[in-house]
Amino acid sequence: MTAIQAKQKRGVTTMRADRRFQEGVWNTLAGVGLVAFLVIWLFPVFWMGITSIKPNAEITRQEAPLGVAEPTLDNFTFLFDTENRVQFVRWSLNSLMVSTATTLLSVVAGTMAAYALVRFKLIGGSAMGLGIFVTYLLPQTLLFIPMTYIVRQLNLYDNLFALVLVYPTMMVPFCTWLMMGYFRAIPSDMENSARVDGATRWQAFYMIALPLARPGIISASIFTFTLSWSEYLYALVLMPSSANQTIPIGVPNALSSGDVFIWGSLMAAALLGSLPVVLVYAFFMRYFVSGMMVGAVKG
Amino acid sequence: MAQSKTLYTGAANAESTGVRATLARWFDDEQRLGYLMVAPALLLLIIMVAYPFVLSIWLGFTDTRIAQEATGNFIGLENYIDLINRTLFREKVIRNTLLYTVGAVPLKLVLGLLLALLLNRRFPLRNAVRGLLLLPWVIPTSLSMITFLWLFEPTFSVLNFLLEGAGFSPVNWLGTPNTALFSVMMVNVWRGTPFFAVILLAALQGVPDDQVEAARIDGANTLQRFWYIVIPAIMPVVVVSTLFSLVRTFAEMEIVWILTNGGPFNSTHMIGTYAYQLAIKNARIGEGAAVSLFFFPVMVLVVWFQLWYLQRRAQ
Amino acid sequence: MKNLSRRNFLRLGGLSALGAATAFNPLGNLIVSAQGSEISLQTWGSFITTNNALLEGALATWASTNDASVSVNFTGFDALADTLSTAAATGAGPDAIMMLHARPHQFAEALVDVSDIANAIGEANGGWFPVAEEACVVDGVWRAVPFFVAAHAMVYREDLFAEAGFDAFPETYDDLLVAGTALKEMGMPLGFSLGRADGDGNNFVFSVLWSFGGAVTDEEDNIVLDSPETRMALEYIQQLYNDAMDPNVASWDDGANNRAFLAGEVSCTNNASSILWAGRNDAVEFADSINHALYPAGPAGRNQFGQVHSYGILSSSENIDATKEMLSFINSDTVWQLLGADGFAFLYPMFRSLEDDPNMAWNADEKLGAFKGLAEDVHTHGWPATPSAAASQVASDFVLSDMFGSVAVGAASIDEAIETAIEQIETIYDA
Repeated sequence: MTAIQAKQKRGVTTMRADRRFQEGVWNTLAGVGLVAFLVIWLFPVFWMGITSIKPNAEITRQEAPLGVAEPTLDNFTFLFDTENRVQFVRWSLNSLMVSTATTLLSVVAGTMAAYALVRFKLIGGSAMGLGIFVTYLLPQTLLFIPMTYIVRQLNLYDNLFALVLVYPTMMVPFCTWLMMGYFRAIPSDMENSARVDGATRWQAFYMIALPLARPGIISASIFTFTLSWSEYLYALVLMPSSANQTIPIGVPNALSSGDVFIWGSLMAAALLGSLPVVLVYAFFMRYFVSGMMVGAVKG
Repeated sequence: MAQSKTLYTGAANAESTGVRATLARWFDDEQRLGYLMVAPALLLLIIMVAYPFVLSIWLGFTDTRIAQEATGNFIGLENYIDLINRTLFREKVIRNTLLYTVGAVPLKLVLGLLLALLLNRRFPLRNAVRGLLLLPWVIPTSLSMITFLWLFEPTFSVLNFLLEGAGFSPVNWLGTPNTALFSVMMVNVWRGTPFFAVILLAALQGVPDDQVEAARIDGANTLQRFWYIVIPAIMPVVVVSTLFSLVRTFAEMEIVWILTNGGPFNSTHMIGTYAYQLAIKNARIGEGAAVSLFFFPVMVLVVWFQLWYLQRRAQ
Repeated sequence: MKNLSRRNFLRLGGLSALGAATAFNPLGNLIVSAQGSEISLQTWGSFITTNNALLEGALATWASTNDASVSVNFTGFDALADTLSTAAATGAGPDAIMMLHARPHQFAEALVDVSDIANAIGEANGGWFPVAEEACVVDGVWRAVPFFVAAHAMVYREDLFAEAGFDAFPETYDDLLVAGTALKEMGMPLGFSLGRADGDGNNFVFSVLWSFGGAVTDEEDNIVLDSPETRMALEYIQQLYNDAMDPNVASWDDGANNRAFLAGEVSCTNNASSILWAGRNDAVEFADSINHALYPAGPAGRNQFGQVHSYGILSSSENIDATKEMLSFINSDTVWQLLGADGFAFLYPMFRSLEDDPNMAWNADEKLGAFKGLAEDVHTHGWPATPSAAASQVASDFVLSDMFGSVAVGAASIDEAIETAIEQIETIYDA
């Protein structure tokens, strides 16, 4: 072994050791960073959880607030006790109904519109695409008075169908936009050959393009479902009856009155009220991520 | 696809006859089918958005007040001129909205990107952690804001309990103009960062591994690889998600409304809350519409920029 | 919190026996019209949950005897205001809705004339308090039926005041400052909200301004805020804040003073009876030391703000007559015997006949005695002028709270604070 070779070999070893050291540093930093994120971002959720199992007397006790001396489920059972004017089950079902219907409507309408706008050379197509997108920019605070007026004309005030009609106005633009990105990303070869084989345009869409776009459809659905689930302003003005309210309105309405807040049950309701959406994410997280990606990149 | 001929039973072949086939052929026209497919979305938006929007623009030019028959007169740009002349609007509402947006959006982007990079690594329980970190975005805002009310409570703030435990003095989170704006901004960052992270995580997974690996072999260190390979690759997603967030943050209402109601001393009043206060609480819907529409031209520019950027990139 | 006690159940049960009594009806000729009507009522959901149950139960009994149906929606104060606005703007809403303060003036054109029943109820019950007329009569026409005044008082800890050497609650604001200074030195300051609290905060700042002789406008709606009296009030609050108050009051919402008081952080605040109610309900250790007193008097006397609650019938209602009949029933002796006894003086009728009724909470519970007669001499937004939409807006925009609060914490000088307030008030009154 010549001196030069030895030197080179030493050099390679130090480089490797260097890289291993570097990776070690990065791994440690990443670990610390992730833990820091988890602690900060989940602290409010932890606080929600801990408050939800505190008995009333402990909630306003200032010694050792981070623990619970006598954990209780009373705050949860309170939500299901009809004597308290808390119709948690009812509100959950309302939320579920409205969010599901909104999601179905928005995703179906958005997907069809997106496909037509991307694949067909429609007269005025780009104007329609732009128009649909611009509606996404209009703030709710601007639109809801005239919208309420329309809802009254349709005789749907204080009726859950009003929300099913109103929510898609926020969701359809997003779904259309996301799905347009998705269809652009899918090559049209397969649809073309299906056409050559005698498929109608609708069949090419329904039987070829749609299955390929499934991840996009799933992420649009999840996104729509989440936003519908937590919508506040329209539900606030359109649903005065407790029996017709959704979780984001019904819970604060019934559990805080004037200057008295029922903190424990509010927190319990916040946790329970988020559960369905969390479950949806747990099942579809993978698709959500990839669907968002293609949609966003090609949008 | 040899068998595909048998697949398309409702085939629009020229030789098929019968009502069904005729219908199928009729609908197979690109324009006809296209408009039919766009129609549901378009109709909904025209009836439920375009009409209210036009009505709102009209309202913005009138002195309309709820339950005042004598109002509703066209007054041109008077609402807008009035607004500019109002110290409250100029020095509080606009200032707060801009600070809030300019403060929160970049922070959400940077933290979201950082979080996405962290979540993109291999570590135990990765899917569970990804799911957990989405919670702030998933919990209905009206309910999570009640948690923050409780976290910021002047007397019972557990944040102050922790600060004092660490030897710092307590903070009056929502009680002074500067801390209040900072606090609501941080809450917005708390809620918005996870969403940025998920979208950017998706983008990161789309960065081609071979390019990163090639750069590594060429001797680029982690930071260089990130800066020269990863960032350009995810740029379109960064632009789109940032602009989306800009629009949403600018029109934010719920967080501020529930936490501070615009206070203290209007130091957190913003476009969204001020419009609501005027239109609903004070029944001045003409003025409220004008507030909401004040920055609409800017929003349109933002969208235009976004579409232009994406189009240019696509070419 | 399951405190629908046996006593209340009995009362509810007794109601059906009282079915005949529901024939109480100042406008007997309307009885027929209620038949088959579906009336919707939106009202405030009380923190005293038994009260809601009593009201709903009473209305159900009334509905069944009158062959009508009533759906009651209990909501928070904010939601009441939002629904009212939306309903008035679009014509979609409940038949009757609860309104706070001087809102009947603001929404007069969307409300039905209810002079017939309002006058009948008043005459049958010893007459209305002046503030009822102030809030509900617009150009000589009753636009809402008064229901109750959420009377506010000083809520204080007798034990702590005694410890500091004060056996009775201070009669004047000056004395309050003296007592508060001593109490703050003991580590138990006073706490009056100077923040965005539509109930407690506005109640306090309007009362202080008026008691020092200041006002937003004079009787002819001329803006007169910039006066020596206003400056005196501001200087007083500045000193009270520095020497006698909890430093966080500028961010207190309606609930913050309840929590601080019940946690033993402050010795006195201004509130309705909800603190005592919660103190007993949660068995707070000093619950027995909680008492109420009248607001102190200022140089211009004791000019207190009163939070009026009334029911308006929206002109979009298709059941106007039946709804009128229902509102008469709500203000009947039958219902008030239930609500007044159970309502902890939070619900204080706006007519005089029940003042001395021994069953009413303000007579039955000595700690609530301060509320008795309080409603005789209170005012609503706009006083001394007639209330108006503009006067309501001054309150809902928190112009006065901001003025007092910013001076107290030192965010603005007295001149700056008055200038800021006046610019906002001018916009409100001009535009």
